[in-house]
Amino acid sequence: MGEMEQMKKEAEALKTQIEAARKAVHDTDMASAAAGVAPAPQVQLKTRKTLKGHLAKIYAMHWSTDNRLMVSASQDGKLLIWDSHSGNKVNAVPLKSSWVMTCAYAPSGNLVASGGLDNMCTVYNLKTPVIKTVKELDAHTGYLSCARFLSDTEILTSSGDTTCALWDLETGKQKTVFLNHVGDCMCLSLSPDMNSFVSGACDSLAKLWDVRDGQCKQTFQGHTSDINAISFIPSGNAIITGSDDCTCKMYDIRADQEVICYQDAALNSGVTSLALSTSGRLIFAGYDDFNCNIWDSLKGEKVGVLSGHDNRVSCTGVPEDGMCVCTGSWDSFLKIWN
Amino acid sequence: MLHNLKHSYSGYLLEDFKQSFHFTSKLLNSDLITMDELDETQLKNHVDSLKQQLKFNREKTSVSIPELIKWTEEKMNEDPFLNPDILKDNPWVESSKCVIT
Repeated sequence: MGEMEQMKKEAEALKTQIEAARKAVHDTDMASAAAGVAPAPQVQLKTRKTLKGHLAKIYAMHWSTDNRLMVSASQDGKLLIWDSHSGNKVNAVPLKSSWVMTCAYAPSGNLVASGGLDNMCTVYNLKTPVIKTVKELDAHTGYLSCARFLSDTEILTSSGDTTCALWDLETGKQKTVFLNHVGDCMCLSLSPDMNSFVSGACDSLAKLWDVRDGQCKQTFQGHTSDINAISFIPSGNAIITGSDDCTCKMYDIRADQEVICYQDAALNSGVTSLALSTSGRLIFAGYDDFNCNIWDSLKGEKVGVLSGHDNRVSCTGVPEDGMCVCTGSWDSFLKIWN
Repeated sequence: MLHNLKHSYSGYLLEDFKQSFHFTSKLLNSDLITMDELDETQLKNHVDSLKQQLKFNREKTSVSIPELIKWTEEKMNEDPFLNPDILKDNPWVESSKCVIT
């Protein structure tokens, strides 16, 4: 048997052993453990603001940590910074490439980033008298699907080249490259303690990584199609994923396995985005069918719907104080709901 | 496992952009990389990674899930979507007092 064949057999055997190890600790599931938990109440939210200004499909949005400002990215080739309270546009950043897929707000509020089919992550300083490009991070060989700042000096990216990367914003170089996915990486989420992050990819897997040593610590399987959205729950002990297979799932990090699936026979649209309320009890998931469904994360039931967009909901976001949820759509509008 | 781009969200995004952008990434129009396509080094790394992942010390779900539930339930009181008192001060709803400036 050739060495390659031997290694493939070894890989299969290891996967089988990992599954067995998971089964060995599976002595209850969420349905049983949460049987005594009162269901979350039906959630009926109103649109408080509709942010109009983009001229084409919105692909991404991200809240500032001040709970008031937010950045959105559109195919019209602009990043817009909004004051969500007044609905006014505070800044407009013209993009070199209009094929943008992601945007991010630095925790400090000083920087924003964008990226897309240009394979680059561009970082802008909002605090200079005129908004300046401070870095063009250029090393990925595929589209930039997601970016998240750790600070003003470090940013994480995920790419269609199947890798994720941690960049040093002072040098503009990759510090660490995260290699393990075999499909385009579509999304990432940083853990609350910022020591790890999770990525979701077109190989239908979610992976947990150590930010510093670059190693893939855990792999979560179960989805049967691309994972488009991913988020840590606020405690950092579980993640929620959203997929083209029309379901969302919760994976328990400590038990290393799926514990509940959020699905409905009537739902046959892919999940594009998701965000959690501050307790993690509610999941706001955006779908291809123009709606955002609200799930009770512990009971697995749908407790509300946000209807109002005239096209696919492409992004959702809840600010740190949890006071509202924002949805962004291919209909070119952003809506604030609570 | 074939990855049909056209029926996925990423496929829609890419079809959308494709009209005037020339792709350089070899992965965009190809199927998922399978183990067959990994070279020797990649395969070795894949096996090494699996060995490390196997070592992970897995907690019993009867311990981890109830703790997860407890954490969530404790935070629900501070969750604006679940505690209506918090949203009495709603930044997006004008209060009854009008201030003319």
